[in-house]
Amino acid sequence: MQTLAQTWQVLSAFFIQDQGIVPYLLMFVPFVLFLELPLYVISWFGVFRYTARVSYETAFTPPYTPKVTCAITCYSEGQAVQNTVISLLEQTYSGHIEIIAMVDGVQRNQPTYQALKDLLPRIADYPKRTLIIIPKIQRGGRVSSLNAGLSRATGDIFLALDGDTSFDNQMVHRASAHFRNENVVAVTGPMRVRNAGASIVTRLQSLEYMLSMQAGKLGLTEINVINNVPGAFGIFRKSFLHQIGGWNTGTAEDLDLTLRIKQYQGRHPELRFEFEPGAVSHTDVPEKLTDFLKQRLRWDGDLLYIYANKHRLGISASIMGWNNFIFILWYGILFQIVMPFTIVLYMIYMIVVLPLPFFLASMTLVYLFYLCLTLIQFVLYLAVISDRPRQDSRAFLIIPIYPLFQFAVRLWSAVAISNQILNKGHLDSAMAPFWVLKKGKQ
Amino acid sequence: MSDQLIVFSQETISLSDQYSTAFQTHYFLDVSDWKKENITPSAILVTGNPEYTTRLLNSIRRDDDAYASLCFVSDAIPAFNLNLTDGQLPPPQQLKSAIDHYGDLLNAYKNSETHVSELGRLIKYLWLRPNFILLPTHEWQHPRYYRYPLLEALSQDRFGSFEWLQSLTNTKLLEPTGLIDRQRECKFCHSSHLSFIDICPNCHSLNIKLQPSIHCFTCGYVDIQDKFFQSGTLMCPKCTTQLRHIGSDYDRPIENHHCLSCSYTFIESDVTVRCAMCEKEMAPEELTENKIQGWRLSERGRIIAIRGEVFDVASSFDQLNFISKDLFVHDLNWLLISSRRYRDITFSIFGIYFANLPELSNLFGHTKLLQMLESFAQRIRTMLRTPDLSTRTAENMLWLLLPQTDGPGVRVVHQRIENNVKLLLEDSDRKLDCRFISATSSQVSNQENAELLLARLQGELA
Repeated sequence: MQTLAQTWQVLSAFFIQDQGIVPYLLMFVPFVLFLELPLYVISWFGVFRYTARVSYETAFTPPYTPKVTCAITCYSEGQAVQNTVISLLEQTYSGHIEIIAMVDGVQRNQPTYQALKDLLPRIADYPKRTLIIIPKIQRGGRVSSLNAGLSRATGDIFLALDGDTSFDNQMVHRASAHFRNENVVAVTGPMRVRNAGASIVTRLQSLEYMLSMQAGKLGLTEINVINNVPGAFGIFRKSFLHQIGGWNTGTAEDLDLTLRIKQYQGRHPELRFEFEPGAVSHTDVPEKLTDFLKQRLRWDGDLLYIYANKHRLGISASIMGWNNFIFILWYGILFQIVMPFTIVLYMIYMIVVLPLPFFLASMTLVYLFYLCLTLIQFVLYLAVISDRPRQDSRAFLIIPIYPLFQFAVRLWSAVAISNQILNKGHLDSAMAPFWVLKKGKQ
Repeated sequence: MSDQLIVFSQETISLSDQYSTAFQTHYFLDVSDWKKENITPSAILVTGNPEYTTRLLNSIRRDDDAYASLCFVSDAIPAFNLNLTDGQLPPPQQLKSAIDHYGDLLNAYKNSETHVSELGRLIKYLWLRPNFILLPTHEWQHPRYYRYPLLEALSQDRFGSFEWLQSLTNTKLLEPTGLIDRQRECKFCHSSHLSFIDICPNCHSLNIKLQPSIHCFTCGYVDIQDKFFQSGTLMCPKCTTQLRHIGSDYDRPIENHHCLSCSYTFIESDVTVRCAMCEKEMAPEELTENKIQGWRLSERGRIIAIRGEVFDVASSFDQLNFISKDLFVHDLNWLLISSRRYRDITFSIFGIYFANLPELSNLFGHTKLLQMLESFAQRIRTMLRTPDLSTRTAENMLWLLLPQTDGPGVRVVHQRIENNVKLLLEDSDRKLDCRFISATSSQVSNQENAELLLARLQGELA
């Protein structure tokens, strides 16, 4: 009780009596000023540039309907895989859509295979839609599935999709329009959380997807420094995929592919990634906290594997161009890999150095700062980007917890990176069998 | 006298010497040439191209005298004629034994006046070929898809095979052996050339089409998909909501057929059937079902073959107290019920089962054995009193129904029948394994009816 009272005194000293607040806040300057705020500012600058461009440029769109191949990597989705296929059959796109479903380890995943086969009679009801099922007897992982799909694909545009993700019916129409520009090699779109209402964990992730996957990616793509084309929803020009040899073995094949495309941008700065806000996908996120933590352990660990092991030599200004290089150094290395450890060290430092009331007061201030930041972003998001404002506004209630969630995610990120360094976590992935993973570059 | 082998051939051929020494062979080009010579054949060989063989076989099977002759071929013939031949010409030795076997059966066959009728011809034909199975052939040009060439030949094309088969089944002269096909036929002309057409359930118009529709979740509006399309997106024309994701914004109603004549929208179309032969229309459930089966001569048919009774089968048995199984069961039931109601009514049932008939049949030949059994049955019938009844539920199972006979009475009957059996095979060292069973009305439980009683008694014997 006494500690809390003292904390309050400290806080009121700052706010009400205005004593020494400036030097105190300066303690956070290195973090906020150099790492986080600029990133948000740049990303939002991109968003505004996009909205301005879209509202002033009246797009002239003569019909452009190349054949499109949707490759779905399926594993143990079971009946749920039907939603994915049906949402693709339902596309309003007037061109031909070829759907290829690769079922990995088909003997173990008979329900998924059966669910796909049950759909075959319904294909005839949809004109210009075809469904090919590729049962893969030997399990080879996501990369092997994607490359198998790529070898069978006959469309000009190749969509790499997950079996647990479904799509708005304009997705193909909106995404394929970008490929009219011959320099566009990859497109992605917003990923929304389909099971947001399932638990608190999914609600928090839903908000995170809105602010990072939708707002963040849109802004970053506008200045042509997209961080990643997600594996569950990537749209590529097929000829370019053939050019760079498809997907490479190892975990985080999506980030690997993104970086390899970026490595062309030094020589070919005209190559472009695009973000299409109208190509919306809906995916399921982990409902249980433990599953969520496991997923992040893999994602964040793989980041280090990709940056530090696989592409150590590729990350240079001469190969990928200055803007990509600076962005990866800043966002990829500093923000995603160094900062989690800095936060942990800083926390320890503050606990040791500051008296407890001061420590708590500091944490409260940090919390309030991030709360404001989140609020501003969320309001901007609803006003400018959201395609379903009414539905999205429900996330408002979760905002007070969101800064705490973000903080926990950062700390966990440090754990994940340590796990990667100490245990070679990239070899322990559910995405592919061990014998496949160990063939990748270590 | 040696056997006569008639050879029909387009070209001059010579059979191997073995045939010439064993048989008297005569060569002819056509049936008419042979009829002039008036030679009764022991066997016939037809050799030549398929058309020639087909023509010859058909005219032989339609012949008034030679229809049942053993008839072999030497070349491959079209499948639809297989039923008209006795197969490929066997080597002389086997041919000889086939002719002998045929002769045995022919001797046993009681050649009454009836062989001039189609029915008599069929029974004779089947009797002379003990394991023969009457098979249909498939012909897509035929209105019913299937025809029985043998039935057509033996009836000399006087009536349809299926109608004849129907009456043969009704009189239980043939029994089915296996289901080959089951097909639907026009209820008017029995053609199987049918066409199934989807029509509107409201106005029965042909002019319907599959038309995808959409159901808006926001306002519940349902209409055809085209009305929702607006510049590449789906938008509800009523509430202007954008429909983006199936399952959360909209779904597909299952009524997706549309009639262009009456604008009716429906889930499933009606189906009408049009016959290609008579061009009449009917509903699918009105079609008649026709089972296409293989057939063989029944127990009853074989009995008729050796006793020569084709016409009025029932009346000839009447005087001998021999009745059909159905009638026997009916009477037995009636007696069972009567004896339960009136204590002074008693009766006995007596069964005679010949256990080793198949072995004896191999030993003496089927014909001799049947004759033997027949004479035995005659003797038993002379023992019977006027109200006694008898029937046969199988070739080797004879039943006697003895009214007003109690336990001691049955034992007397038993003794006399057993003595008769001993007389039957006196001169042979082989014994007829004959088993007897009897039951009097007082031993029958109240739950049993005639069928159950017969089944139980037969079970005890076997």
